[in-house]
Amino acid sequence: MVSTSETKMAYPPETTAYAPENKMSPTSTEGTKSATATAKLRAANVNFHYGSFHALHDVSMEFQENKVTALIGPSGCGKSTFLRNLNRINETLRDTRLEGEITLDGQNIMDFDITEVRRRVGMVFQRPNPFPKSIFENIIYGPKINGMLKGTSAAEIVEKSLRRAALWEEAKDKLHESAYALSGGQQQRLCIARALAVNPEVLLLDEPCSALDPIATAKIEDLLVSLKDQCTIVIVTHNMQQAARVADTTGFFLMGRLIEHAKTDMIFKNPACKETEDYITGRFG
Amino acid sequence: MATSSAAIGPAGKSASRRQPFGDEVAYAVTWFFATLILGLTLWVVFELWTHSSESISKFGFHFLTTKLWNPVTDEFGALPFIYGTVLTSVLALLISVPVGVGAAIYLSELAPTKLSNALTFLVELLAAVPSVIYGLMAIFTLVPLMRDYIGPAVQAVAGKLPFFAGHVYGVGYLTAALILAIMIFPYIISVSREALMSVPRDQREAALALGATKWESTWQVVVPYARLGILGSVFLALARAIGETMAVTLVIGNDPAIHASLFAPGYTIAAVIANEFTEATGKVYLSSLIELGLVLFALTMILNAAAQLLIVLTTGKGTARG
Amino acid sequence: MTGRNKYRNAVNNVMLTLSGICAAVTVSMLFVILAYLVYNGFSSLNLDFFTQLPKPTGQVGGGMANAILGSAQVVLIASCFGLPIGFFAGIYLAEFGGKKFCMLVRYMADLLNGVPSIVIGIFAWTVLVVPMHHFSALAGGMALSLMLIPITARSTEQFLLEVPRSMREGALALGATKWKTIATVIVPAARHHDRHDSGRRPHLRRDGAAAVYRPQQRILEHRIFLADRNAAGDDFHSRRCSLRRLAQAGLGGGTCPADDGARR
Repeated sequence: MVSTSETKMAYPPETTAYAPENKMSPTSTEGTKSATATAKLRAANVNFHYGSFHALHDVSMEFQENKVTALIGPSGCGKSTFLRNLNRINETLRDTRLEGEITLDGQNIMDFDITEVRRRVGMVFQRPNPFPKSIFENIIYGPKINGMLKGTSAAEIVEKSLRRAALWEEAKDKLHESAYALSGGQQQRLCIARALAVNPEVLLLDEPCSALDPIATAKIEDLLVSLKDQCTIVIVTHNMQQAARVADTTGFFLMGRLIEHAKTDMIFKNPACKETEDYITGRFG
Repeated sequence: MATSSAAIGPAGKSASRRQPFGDEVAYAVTWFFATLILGLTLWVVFELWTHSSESISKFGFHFLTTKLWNPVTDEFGALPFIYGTVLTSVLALLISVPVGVGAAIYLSELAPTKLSNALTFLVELLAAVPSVIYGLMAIFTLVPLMRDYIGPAVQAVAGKLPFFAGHVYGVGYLTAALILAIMIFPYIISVSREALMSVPRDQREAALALGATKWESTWQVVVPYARLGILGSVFLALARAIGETMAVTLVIGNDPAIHASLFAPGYTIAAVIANEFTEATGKVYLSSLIELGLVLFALTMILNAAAQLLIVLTTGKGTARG
Repeated sequence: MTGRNKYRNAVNNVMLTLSGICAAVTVSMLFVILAYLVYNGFSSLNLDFFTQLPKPTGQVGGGMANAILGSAQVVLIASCFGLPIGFFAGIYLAEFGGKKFCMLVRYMADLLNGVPSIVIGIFAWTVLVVPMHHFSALAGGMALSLMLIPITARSTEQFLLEVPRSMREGALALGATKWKTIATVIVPAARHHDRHDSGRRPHLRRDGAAAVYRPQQRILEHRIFLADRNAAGDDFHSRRCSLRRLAQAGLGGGTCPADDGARR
């Protein structure tokens, strides 16, 4: 799997621009066929409504296995909404409607058992949200409900998950203390560890660093890069430097549309669309 | 039901520096009223204590352990009333806590917001209905139902057990417990729902994102997060049940004795005070009734202390504070 | 779908259905009661009861809470005594208090809140009825105010605590004294905040007090509202609005204008 994803066709070979007159979305114009083969997660013509508000317009996007994809854009552009559709967590909101198709390994996520989708597509939220339980219980919660404790001991899973989230050294002596005893950055890494404990294939992160200081942010960024070979990562961020640092490809959202999705350096050095350039150079947003 | 204290804003008295005059006045005024609460509560205890002095000096501790209640010979004991109060309240809780919390879960987690709000409004309105109306309704509906249908049906199945033995009068412990259960539903539903709804959305989403089902996220994450509020609802309901007067008076049968059978008539503290306060002729009689009031107060206090203790115990390790 | 997931989904469905059944059972029961009341004429039943029991000394015993409900006068007296005490005590608890003393006051308020109305009735009897030799609106009002005080105090406290810290710091930073900050910024902010949405906001304190007191406060408002209706004598009707406002205003630092229908 790793080898295929490292072929040259792993992500759209060139920048593809969103053209308003063209109803087809950017990624589906070229390179689609070859990309489909390796895309871990794929969204096609996704439209999303909050009540009467049309929040996402025809978004089509592919996420390659073992790559980090960043979604950037001004506040309210729909990037978080899009992310929250990828593991169907938006279904918990009332009065919403999703159209289009999202596939995981080529299979429509609507056909999965909902708990199965969410186990395979993990999520980390904007604000750290540990459960009011101990660190240990926080991590073991996911494996427990998903019946993954058979064969391995709980302690092993906890240690492994904490190590993967680079929190083990800091937390190993207080595993049975309240998760709220940790600092904000540690809590966020705990939430990442909690998400990793169920071995997700895709990890979604919704502005995971927006409540953190630069040092904690740097730690999480390092962590993301190191996690890349274990899962596919999609991160929403309002911080463009962050996208530039961690992401292999970057998608730019504006007003509920995916304007451009390309290799990160392409986006930042040579964007195809005027809107992208305006945003990146700080002319709005 | 709170003990933990959060000092928002600097503490009132900072000795080192003089406060502006206005602040000192405001501090003094609010302090006075806060102290007034303290004083009033203590005053209630004091009044009950002094007015029950005759009964206390005559019966002493035996008041609590004596079964006899005889105004003619001036012999008084509180045991049947304590028994009746505790039995009916606990039975009522056993019925209404599971059902009430279940309903609260439905209202906060599943029902559409508008429906939930409308139902909660009605439920709370019903808590405001005077209890005598519940009592009258119970006399016209629940008592015959119990006498003619429920009682015989239960006895046909489990009549051998001492809890269900004896003649079914219609009035009695079980009837009182049922009407109490109905009366405390609003408190349990409304308070538990409030507690469940104050659980942050991201807690639910965190559980769901790990692959939990709706029920798993509700039961394993949302309910534990809201447990203090739910506990609070249980204790509030228990306090209401213990103190409930009119409805219980009308359906419990008013028999100052202790029966094992739930169908037998009994008596509660609040009911006996309500019934006999007017006709209490002798000094000892009246003072015994007031001492019963003191016992009721003590029960409330024990309940409150238990609530505080539970909160302290469950707020220890691994919980969110502040 | 694996067997385990099938099982989990089954549990999910069963339990969620059960909770729906719980709601259906309780709510339908309450509906039956409501229908019964409406059918049999709520107010007449009530007024009968109140007019049939005017025994001079023993009134207290006959269910203080009900006697209390009957009289608008009683509500007025109770509000005059209970609301300021509760309101200022609530301010003390939220803004001024030291840690230990506050804990004590909170405990006492919680205790007082739990004391059955019949016990409060005895208290009013010993303190007011016996010295004055007759049952009076004053005694009833005092008794009700005793029930009003803890609820008012604790809800006021909760409302004030929900005002963000930044707001008070903002006022203090402009050189306002503490009491001016409270009077001009915090209390108005607490009055205006949207309580319908309060559930979605992370609370400052998770001790459950907010959840416990807010519904009680609403219930008490309903109670006062019903008392209005029951005792709606001719003269009372004109005064009703102002009285209700007064009674509601103190129940936890201000409520929106008459909106009982809209409240959740």
